[in-house]
Amino acid sequence: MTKYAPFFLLIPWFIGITVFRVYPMISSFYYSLFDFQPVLRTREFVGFDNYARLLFRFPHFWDSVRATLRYVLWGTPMVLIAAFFIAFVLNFKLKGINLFRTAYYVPSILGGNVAVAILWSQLFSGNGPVNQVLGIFGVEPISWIRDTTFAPFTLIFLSAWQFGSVMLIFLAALQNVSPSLYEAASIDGASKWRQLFKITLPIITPVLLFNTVNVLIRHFQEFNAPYLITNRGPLRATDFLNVLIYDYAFRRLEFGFALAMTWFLLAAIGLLTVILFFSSKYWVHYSD
Amino acid sequence: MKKFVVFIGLLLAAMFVLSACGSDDAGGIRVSDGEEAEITFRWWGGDARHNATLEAIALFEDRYPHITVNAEFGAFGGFLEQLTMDLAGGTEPDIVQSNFAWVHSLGNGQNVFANHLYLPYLDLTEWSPELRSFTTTADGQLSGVSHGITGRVIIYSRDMLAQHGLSAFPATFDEWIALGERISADNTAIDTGANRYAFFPLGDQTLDIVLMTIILNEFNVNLQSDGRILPTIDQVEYAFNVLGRMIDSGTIPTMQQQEAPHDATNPVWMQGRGGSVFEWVGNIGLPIGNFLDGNEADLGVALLPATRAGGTQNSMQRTSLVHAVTQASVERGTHYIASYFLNWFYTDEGALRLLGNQFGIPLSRTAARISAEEGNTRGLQLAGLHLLEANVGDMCHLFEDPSLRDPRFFAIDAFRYGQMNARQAAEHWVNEQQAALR
Amino acid sequence: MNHRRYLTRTNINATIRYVILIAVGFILAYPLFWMIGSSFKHNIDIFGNMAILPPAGRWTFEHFPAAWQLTPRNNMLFYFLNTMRFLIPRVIGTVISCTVTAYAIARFSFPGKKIVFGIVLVTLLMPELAFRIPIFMLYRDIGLIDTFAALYIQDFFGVNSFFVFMIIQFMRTIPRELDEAAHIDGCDPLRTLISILVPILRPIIITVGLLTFMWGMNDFQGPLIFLRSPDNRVLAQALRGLLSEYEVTHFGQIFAGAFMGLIPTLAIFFACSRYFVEGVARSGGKE
Repeated sequence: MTKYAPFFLLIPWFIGITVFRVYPMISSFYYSLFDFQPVLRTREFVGFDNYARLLFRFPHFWDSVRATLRYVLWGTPMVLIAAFFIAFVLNFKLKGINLFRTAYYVPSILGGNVAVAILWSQLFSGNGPVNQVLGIFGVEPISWIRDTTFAPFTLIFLSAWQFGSVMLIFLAALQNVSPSLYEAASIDGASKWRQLFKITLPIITPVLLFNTVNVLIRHFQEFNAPYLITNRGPLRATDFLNVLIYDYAFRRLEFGFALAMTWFLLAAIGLLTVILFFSSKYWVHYSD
Repeated sequence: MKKFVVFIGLLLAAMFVLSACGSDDAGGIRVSDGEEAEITFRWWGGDARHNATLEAIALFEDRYPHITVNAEFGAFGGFLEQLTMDLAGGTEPDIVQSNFAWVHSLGNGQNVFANHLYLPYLDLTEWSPELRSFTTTADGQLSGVSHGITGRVIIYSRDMLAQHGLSAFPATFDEWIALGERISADNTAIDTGANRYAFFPLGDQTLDIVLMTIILNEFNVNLQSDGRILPTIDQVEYAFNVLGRMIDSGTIPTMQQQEAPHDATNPVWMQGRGGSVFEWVGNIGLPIGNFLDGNEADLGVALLPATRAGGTQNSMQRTSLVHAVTQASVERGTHYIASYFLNWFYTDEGALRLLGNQFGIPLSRTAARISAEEGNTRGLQLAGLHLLEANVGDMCHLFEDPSLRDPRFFAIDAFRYGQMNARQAAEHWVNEQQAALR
Repeated sequence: MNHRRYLTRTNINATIRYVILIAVGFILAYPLFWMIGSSFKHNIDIFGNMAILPPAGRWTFEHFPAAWQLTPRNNMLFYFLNTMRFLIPRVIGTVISCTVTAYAIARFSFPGKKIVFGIVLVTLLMPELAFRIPIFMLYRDIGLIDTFAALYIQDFFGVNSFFVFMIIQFMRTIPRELDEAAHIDGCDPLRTLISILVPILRPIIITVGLLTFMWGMNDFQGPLIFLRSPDNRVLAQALRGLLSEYEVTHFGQIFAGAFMGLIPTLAIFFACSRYFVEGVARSGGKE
């Protein structure tokens, strides 16, 4: 009976994934081969021309790829470290810790709201608090939002501030680490830091892998912040792929071309994820 | 002779009736049928506009109880996205609000909007030839009706001018830049809350329009015609040099000095540290309402200065917004009702009094008359409207098309950042737009 | 003696921990305090002014009632309830269907398992935009446009690969002997899931529910695409409407609205965070 159990359990998933994911994906790939503009109501088959345009006749695209990669490669580790640190702190067993957990989580609840966009551009404005604090250490005021070097970092800081779900997942993982393991370690006289690296981290590596993939994807698909805060600028420094795709799909209404970019984005994320999974053999430990 | 005119008039009327009857056979629900019918009207705007429109719709439904007008309204953000989904799915509303750019990108030969020349109940004499020209797409069809005309004007602080011994707004760029130099004398490289500027551009669109207006004023060429970008690189370079002088003199802030938000709520403007901003006449209420304590008397309106003394001063006029019956409505057979409603919306006195100036300054015949009777357009807005009447200089219908606009924005940004000189920026401006046009 | 020294050490430890907690908390919370303070400010005191409270004598209390009466026709409660009309089914559907799907993938070996897992991953990587038009057409054909069902129907099928993957990864940190023991005791697979795994996975299942709720509260895109009539507008849309291109925007109202919109999520979060601790105690006690 158990032999067939997984199939029964997967029936809804199978229906759902076919109808809501696989079919739409195939259809989106199909449309990426067309000069497809929904408003035109005519679609002309162009083969892989959308892809060729993307790769060879559209320099703007490579600017966007560069900007996206810079954001992903800087942002992913920063967010992971920030989220893990916070989860670690919030895992302290102290009175009133729930209150702190809630308070820490508030920035993430706000999401990609207009209020957050206003807030962030004020924090990082010319005489905003960030520059004022830096000024104490003798740093000249920085144009955080209107400077091509700093603008992506202003967005990375926002992403790190809204560590929410990543932190929560780390926290849940930390809580699954059985206290008896620590007790054994402290009898052996292992220091806190040793405990962290020898016990905690290895146990939660499956979750670390998950979070890395998740943060990577989220950064690849970043949309709200560059749209609302930096307006994709300055000079396209924050014109990330997902924003560019949206722009082509909904401002210029070139759906076929936008879908071709989507598939490129998928390939890029896919490649990095595959690398992560292959490497995971060496650093992820499963209990099952 | 007189009889002849009457005869021709009767003949035309007869033809109209006959053709109306003829199209009646083609199917579709008519208002006079008394049959239950439903249409959808979608617009964007703020609360005041929503309220006024809902009241007008209620009035219509009162008068025609068998007709239901579904109202779909919201903010501008996301409007095109939603409409695109609907166009893909064939679920678009019967009447939709549009802007100048979309009416030409969506309306041209793409079967999105009905041809309003042939809509049964629409009395086209309400719209002057000029108004109609804004919504006549390249395929020759009338793809919607214009609500009014708007154009860009300067709104300036009288106080700041007076402090520097001026009683009227500068008429040339030379005077303006000289003023800018004096106003910005004590500015710091990063604005820490004390800088002053003769001109504060709100949003990316401002300098883009300023640059185009300089080209129009100096060379009298528009953006493009028949797929060819008209200004030459030399001409555009001239305009960039003017812009460069504005930057160098501190007339406008540098990129680093200009902080968010990029609209009339920017503190520079709100605190009276900006000498002037550049806004659509129809949206003039925003900079007025946000300036110091919203005191209109402290402000004046002017046209963007000329490039030389006595030169022309254009204002980049375009339609303020458009309402259009969709082709989907024609296919559903609800376009009779839709065009009846649209005509009513623009001609019924009761409706027009409820609507006021909520969609901007109305210029279609009856709407303009009612608006004048009610005195809806007044103060600076009226002054701004008079400035528009005094000059021509229409915006090209492709000017706000994103694929042309983006390279222009980029060239201006790169120029302001010092990454391109005037020549390079002009080359980018011309060549990239030309590439996008093909 | 020993006992006392131990006590002092824990006290110092606790103090250091509180100091860290409060210091980090301040950095995280300062922007929020500013936002809340700014909901009592006039526009002119908001920009270029990072003080949390409005200047003396310039407080305004009108933003909260104005933000509560979100649109002329309906208040915040109305839009919040609208959000609940799709969010409650969505949370229930997501939690159940993703747990079951993850269980099937993580705990059984069957032919094609690698492919199933591969599909979960690929759909996780795909930007939402790629699905959008086909799904819109599908919903149009089955008459779901302008209904709340359009916003939750797919969540009952475990297609949220993010959560499926997440639960799989967590199941893999739980030793398999536990459910094998249950199996030997005669539990059928579903019973094993409910009585053995779900209690251990409680923190993570609650996390799934919370995240679904929170993201749903902020979901602007989904309602924009699928809902049409003004009476079907949800809170995230109505809040965005406070930022107007046509009328003088009162930023204090936007902050007040954002703050009030936070409260339900905050309350739920606070209530749930107790279960995290409980979950720990349980899974710890099991060992």
